[in-house]
Amino acid sequence: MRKKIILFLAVVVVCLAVAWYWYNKPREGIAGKDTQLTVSAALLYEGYNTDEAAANEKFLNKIIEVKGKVADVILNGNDAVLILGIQPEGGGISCFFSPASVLENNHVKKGMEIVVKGKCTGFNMDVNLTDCIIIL
Amino acid sequence: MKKFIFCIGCCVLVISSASAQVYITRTGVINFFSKTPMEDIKAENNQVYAAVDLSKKTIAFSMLMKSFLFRKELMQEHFNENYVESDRYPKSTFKGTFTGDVDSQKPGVYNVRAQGVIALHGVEKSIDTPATIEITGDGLMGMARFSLLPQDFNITIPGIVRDKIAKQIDVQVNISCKPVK
Repeated sequence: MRKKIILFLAVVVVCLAVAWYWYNKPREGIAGKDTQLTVSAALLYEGYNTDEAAANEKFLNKIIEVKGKVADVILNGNDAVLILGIQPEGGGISCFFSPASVLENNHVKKGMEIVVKGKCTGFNMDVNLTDCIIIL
Repeated sequence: MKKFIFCIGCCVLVISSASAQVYITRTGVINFFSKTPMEDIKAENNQVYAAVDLSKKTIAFSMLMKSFLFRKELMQEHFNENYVESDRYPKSTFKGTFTGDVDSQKPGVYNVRAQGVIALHGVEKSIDTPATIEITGDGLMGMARFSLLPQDFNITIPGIVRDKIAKQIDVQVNISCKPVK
């Protein structure tokens, strides 16, 4: 009987520990995750601009690699948003980087052709990617 | 660029003349906080689209719910799947006006009141909040703080986590806009 109680308590403790671990698990970003799709910035934007529902079907919540030209980098404290441009002054791909130093470390400058890996969160003037990293 | 404005203001903002004083950003920041004795929760969206028209005194915001980032994986998942249902309601918007005079030629901080409608989780709700607009050398900064109640937007918090999520969610808005040429 005593053994059964001890076993029961042990199971409860393990369950609680696992629940605690899952509950507090930090958001990892995408560094360790595999790329699901590779696309050019122009094709990605065109896809969303012509048929958002179909593009969501294909790209939303996916880890994608996007190749394009850096149109702008906007720093905001420790974070940065990099815009992959399509045409001058038009919509593009908005890529969120945290920390911003990732961009400096990779010597990212306006006008460069780069490859960004990030998670697609949808379309709102630009296609939005979060948790981005530079692939080059 | 005209297309960009057209979208963001959904017809609220139309460039009518060369003297229009329209300021825009695609990298505004909106944070929200929930503070309870059990847990502090914070999420941040750095990809907020905003337009402020000083001559028409209109303001428009638009953002994707999935661009709100949390510190904990599970919280972000619950926020998207159970609370705001971001697959069904991907965007949140604000369209409104402000009262108070802002002189684009005179740099400085102007206290204004912003009024308008927030659309979130398929529900539209009016809000009225104090805000500040700062005219800087090369643009405009906007700031506001207000609280929202999840139940006003048909968001139900299950009993099991009710103690961990505040009744009032504090929202903080910070935008740094550039004039439209």
